Amino acid sequence: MDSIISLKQSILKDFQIDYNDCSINENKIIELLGYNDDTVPETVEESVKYILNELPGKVKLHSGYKIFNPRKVILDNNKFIIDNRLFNCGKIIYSSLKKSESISFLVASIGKEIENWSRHFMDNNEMLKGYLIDKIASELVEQLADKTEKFLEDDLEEIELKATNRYSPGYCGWSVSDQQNLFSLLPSMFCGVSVNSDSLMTPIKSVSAVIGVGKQVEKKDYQCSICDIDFCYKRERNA
Amino acid sequence: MENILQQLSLCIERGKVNKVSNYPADMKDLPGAIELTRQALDQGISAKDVLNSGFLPGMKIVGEKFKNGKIFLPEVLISAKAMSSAMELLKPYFHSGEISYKGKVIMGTVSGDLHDIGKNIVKMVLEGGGWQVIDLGTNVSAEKFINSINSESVKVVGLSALLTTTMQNMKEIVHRIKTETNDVIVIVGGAPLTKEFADSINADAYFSDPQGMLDFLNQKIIL
Ligand code: B12
Repeated sequence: MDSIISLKQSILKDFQIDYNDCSINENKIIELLGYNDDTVPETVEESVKYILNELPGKVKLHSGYKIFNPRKVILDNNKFIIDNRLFNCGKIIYSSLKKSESISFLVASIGKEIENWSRHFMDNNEMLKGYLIDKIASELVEQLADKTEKFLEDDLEEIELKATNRYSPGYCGWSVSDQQNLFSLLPSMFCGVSVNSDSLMTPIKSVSAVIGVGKQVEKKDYQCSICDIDFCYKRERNA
Repeated sequence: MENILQQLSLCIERGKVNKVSNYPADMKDLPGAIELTRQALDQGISAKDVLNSGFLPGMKIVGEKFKNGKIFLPEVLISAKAMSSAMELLKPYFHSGEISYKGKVIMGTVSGDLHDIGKNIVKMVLEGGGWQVIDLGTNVSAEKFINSINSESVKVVGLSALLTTTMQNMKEIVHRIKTETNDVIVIVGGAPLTKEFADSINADAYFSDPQGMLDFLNQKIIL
């Protein structure tokens, strides 16, 4: 019961993270592209190096989370409700969240400039660089989300609470349209992100997620085995 | 003649843009796609032969290697750059009508959606296969597709979407294209799409990758 008492109200935090605290590694990118040290074409390697060098000046790492006051949160029947807003998260995610005392939302974004940078190359017959920027940017925002998840876990640890895995609307059978409700419970332009009526976030390189919070919850290996969505890439990322 | 076109084809396949480019290392200091194209035209080889026996066979090999998992997307993009750089030299021949594209295709990411990397790659592969692509960009409405179909007299349209939500917008776009224009083939693609979804919205075809669309166009569409 202590934990609920220490979470009497919602907690909102946002972070502007320095690129050096969230950097990406060249080898990881090479690997993500399908190569290894021996097979990567020189020009790909050079381009990756060039991009990683310029990247810090092109991104703005902004992320944050909100942990809701447990009194506002109801979890029931493969759904959860916060402040009267219903989230149809589905069976798979619910099974991981169900022991939560509260729910938190996480948002991470690396800003808009990167899109223009990639497009600039695309428009100037430099498709390789344009594509690599896009790929690297996707990896960076995932890493930013990982880092933010860690911040949340550290903060929770101080009040003796734990976190579940993070689940994004649009994954594991949860409809992306619940983004509408998710963003309606956050300050407008939280972390510089807005969501349109089709539930697409701008800037494009943004991620949103929900994480269950409580004494009894636990973080598991991603539960791909109980989900049957075959176009999901988490399966590969977590393989 | 054979020889120079074969060399040209190899430059496209390997992504050798011009003489000064250091890539690929084993072709350093050799003439690249740009020099060979110029040389071929200077020797009196027709633009048509340069296109059909130099450029396109090079890109065809690239497409096949990619399909068979022998190379990855970055190498396709490297080849595409060599091709489009040399293609500049053929532009006057397209304008004069001496050579023509296989046909014209409109591409766009549907309304509500701003994701364009996938669509850009499709565009590039189709261009590499000898098709002219009119790129309407992202967040494209039914209206805009239809206006462009009419003004450009195009018979094939490719729609792209990233999310299951924006994918729903394809339904209305396909419906309007089908009811407001004549005999236009609509092809859909993007990460969340499936053949079943494409069938359910009456699209003519779905492909998970650009090569599938290119093969379809090359086999089925005679414009
Ligand atoms: C990288 C990635 C991201 C990155 C970058 C996204 C971006 N748009 O730049 C980040 C991490 C930011 C991200 C975020 C999100 N993502 Co995401 N993401 C992906 C991932 C892994 C790859 C997408 C990609 O860029 N691929 C590379 C490009 C080159 O491929 P492509 O666009 O698919 O295009 C290729 C083909 O599809 C095809 N093609 C494309 N268009 C067309 C058109 C025609 C006519 C044809 C023939 C072919 C064709 O050819 C292209 C080249 O091969 C996919 C899963 C996957 N494996 O596809 C999920 C995926 C697209 N994401 C998904 C989701 C849900 C999200 C989020 C909503 C999650 C969240 N709540 O945060 C957000 C939304 C972001 C936003 N702005 O609103 C879902 C979408 C399905 C759905 N449920 O709606 C997917 C499918 C993952 C899943 N669940 O399996 N994502």
